[in-house]
Amino acid sequence: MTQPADSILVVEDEVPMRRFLRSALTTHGFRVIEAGTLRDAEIAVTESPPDAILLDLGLPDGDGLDLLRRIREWSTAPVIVVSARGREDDKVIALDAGADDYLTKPFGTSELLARIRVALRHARAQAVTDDPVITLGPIKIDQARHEVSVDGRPIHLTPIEFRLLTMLARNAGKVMTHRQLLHEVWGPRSTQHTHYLRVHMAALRRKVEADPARPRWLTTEPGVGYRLRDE
Amino acid sequence: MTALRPDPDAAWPTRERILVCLGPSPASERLVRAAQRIAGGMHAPWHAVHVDITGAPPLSAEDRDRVEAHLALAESLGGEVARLTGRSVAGAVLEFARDHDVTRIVAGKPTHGRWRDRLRGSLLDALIRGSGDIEIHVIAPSEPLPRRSTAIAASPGKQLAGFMPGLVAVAGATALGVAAGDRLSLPDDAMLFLFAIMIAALGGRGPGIAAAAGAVAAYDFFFVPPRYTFAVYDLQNVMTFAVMFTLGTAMGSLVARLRHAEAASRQRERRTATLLAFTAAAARASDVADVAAAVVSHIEDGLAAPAAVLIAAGDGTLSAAAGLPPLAPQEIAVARWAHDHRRAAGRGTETQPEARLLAVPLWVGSDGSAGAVAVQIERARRRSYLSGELPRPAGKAVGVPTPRDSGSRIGLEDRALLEAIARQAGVAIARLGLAAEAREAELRAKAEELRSSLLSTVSHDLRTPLAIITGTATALRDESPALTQGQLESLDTIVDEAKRLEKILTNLLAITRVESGAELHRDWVPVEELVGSALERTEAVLAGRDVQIDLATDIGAEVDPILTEQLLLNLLENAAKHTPPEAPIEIRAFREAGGVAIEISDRGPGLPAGAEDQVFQKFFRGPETRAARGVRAAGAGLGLAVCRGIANAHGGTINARRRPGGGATFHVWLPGGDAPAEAAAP
Repeated sequence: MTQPADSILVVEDEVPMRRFLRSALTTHGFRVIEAGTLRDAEIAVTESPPDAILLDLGLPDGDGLDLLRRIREWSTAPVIVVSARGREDDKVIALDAGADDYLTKPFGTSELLARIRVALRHARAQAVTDDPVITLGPIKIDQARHEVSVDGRPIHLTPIEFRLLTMLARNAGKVMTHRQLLHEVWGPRSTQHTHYLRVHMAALRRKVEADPARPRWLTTEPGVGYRLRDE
Repeated sequence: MTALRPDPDAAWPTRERILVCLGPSPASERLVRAAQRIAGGMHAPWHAVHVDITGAPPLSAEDRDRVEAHLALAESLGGEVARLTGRSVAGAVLEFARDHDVTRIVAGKPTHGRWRDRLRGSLLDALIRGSGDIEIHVIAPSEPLPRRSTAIAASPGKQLAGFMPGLVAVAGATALGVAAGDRLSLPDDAMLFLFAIMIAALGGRGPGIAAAAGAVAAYDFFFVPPRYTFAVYDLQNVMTFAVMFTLGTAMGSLVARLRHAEAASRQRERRTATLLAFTAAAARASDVADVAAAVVSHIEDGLAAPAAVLIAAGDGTLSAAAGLPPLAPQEIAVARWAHDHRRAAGRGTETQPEARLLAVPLWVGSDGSAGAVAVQIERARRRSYLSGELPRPAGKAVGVPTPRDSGSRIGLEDRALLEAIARQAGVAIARLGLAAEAREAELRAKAEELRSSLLSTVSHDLRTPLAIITGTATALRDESPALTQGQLESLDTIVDEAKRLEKILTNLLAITRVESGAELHRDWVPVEELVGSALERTEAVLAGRDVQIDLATDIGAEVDPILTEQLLLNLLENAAKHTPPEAPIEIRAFREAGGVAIEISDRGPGLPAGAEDQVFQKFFRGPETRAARGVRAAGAGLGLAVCRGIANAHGGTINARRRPGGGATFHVWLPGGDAPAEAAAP
């Protein structure tokens, strides 16, 4: 590896947790900057902007959300929030406030690395011009011609289903909240109507998935949103 | 005065408001309807007022009833009713009109002769002169009206008693004058009679006039020459007669008026004191029974009538809260009507006027009634501050009719007092209700706060170590190439056990949440999505197992997606835990009884007989759980209890049954059905 290692800022107050994250990340070639408090984190962010930020929402000296909002004022570095199960509302708020993804405690190294890689890839891809054709496993989307095929077999999507699928595909691997999808597909006034989204997601799954009750690609993040897997 | 300077007294009406003045004349009924028509046409609120002139001779009981009937009619037609007192009708009406931003006043065309206006002043003239920017509508009566009697006669005994002092005084003056003979001059005799008239006039107008007439006759007969005849030669003496007569009439009237005013003000004072005392008692009351007891004792005090208070329970039934006489069923019906219609009922009203009691609702603002106060008029005792303390103007019926007057009526002011007490009581009861509600809400909020802080503590403080254990173990497993098979297995055990702890924790949090009655984040969720995400999270547990899925298309449940996913996940894990690894699991979903049924069936050993309900109890563990068959089957016994808790919180059900051919079926019913209509269109 000749390119410089990606730096990850880990904002976490529990020392053993930090130790685990540091060991897992450095083993896989990342450079780790650690911060135990929001203050340290803010200083670290400004002094040497990291490539990605791992942010625990439950910090002792304040709300991680505040830090997230402040970072988002000037930085586009991907932020992955770490939170416990059962605190889905916090995750949704963080995601809608600009976080890129989330990890639910407890998680293993593979999950952690997968999330970070997706986030870094999306941060890079923003610079590159959009390819009109997106391919994800068996799914092939031609954005210019409005054509979708699965395993080479063309499928017919309604305009809403097409927009939903392209939104998820452009953010493949990343979770998209209900609100984000509703905003992009239906417009800013429909962000409360999650049942619209659920109905059309169900229809889309039936067309794209081999077994819609056991989706391979279009997965549900309960209480948060949807994710189109990219591997 | 210029148009630029607004009259400071002028009200600033923002919209039309109608006022109608009512009296005892039967023509008033027409006025009420006219006012209602005018107000209806303008969509304006309207008031109906009756004015009691302070110091004026009282209305007859008959007239009182008519005034009451007119006010009740106005109330039933949607008017707001007010009873005013004032020195003049016009003054009181105009003051009220300005206070309430009235824009139009409806008054009746006079039905009496012109002479009366000359004598007493015309109401219409006064109204028009003082109305300023308020419009006056004059309504003509529809037909000639019968003459009204202004008073009813009191008993002859009482009447005679009132005349006695005058008779004695005139007789005394005559005797004294005759005895004195020529020692007194004619003017001195006249003075004697004037003195006698004054004494007589203290008894009121009638005795004053009678004494004046008697004195004139006696003076003429005994003293004015030619004596012992009624003939009068001297014009001077005619003047003396006139003075005597005028003095008697004027003084009598004045005294009567004064006495009445005094009586009325004493009565008002008494009512005000009663109301004040009641308000204080109601403010001190710490529960509804206290308020009810205060109502009863103050009505007893103020109206000298036994009363009962009925309080409406949550389900709308009225039950007696205080009051001595037990009410008959038909009396409760009157109270119930008053409560339901928020209007007085019973004696003296338009509803059930033949009832022996008058029932007034306990007002709670404009939107309800907390019950009713029933006053038993016919049982009203004769002990009354009115009959006891007020002198009755002789020759006439009493001032203000009270329950005692005819034994069957309740006067305007007494009714106003009763309604004021009822209103205050309603407010007091509402205040007590609000206070109790606030206390309850505070307790609930505290409990909720405690719960959520406990939840966040638990989820943070327990999950963080779990996350560290899981993370560290996975890091060790993934990053150390030189581990032996045994070491790798140990690391897997650490990770799995941490996961199990996490599951127990999740279930504990879920059961705490549904049992605390926390609000659910309900949404319409396709069953496919619920089953799909539950299957995804049980992928590891169900690995290699044959799972058959049969879901009706386009059905969804109105549920909290996270909790419902937890329910399905627990059922799937339960099935996996209790059946051999190769046994198939079936998931079915279909419409049922206006909702959605989801069934998870397995081909395991089934449920122990009679345990179909037991399995949902907290910490229940089936016998085969302990007989672990290679599958790790140890749990906290929470999973199914959580399922039942979640299903119940959604208004759903869950039950387990033995499956024909072996195995168990868990049947969940949740509210839901087809997709909401507006979402179905693309």
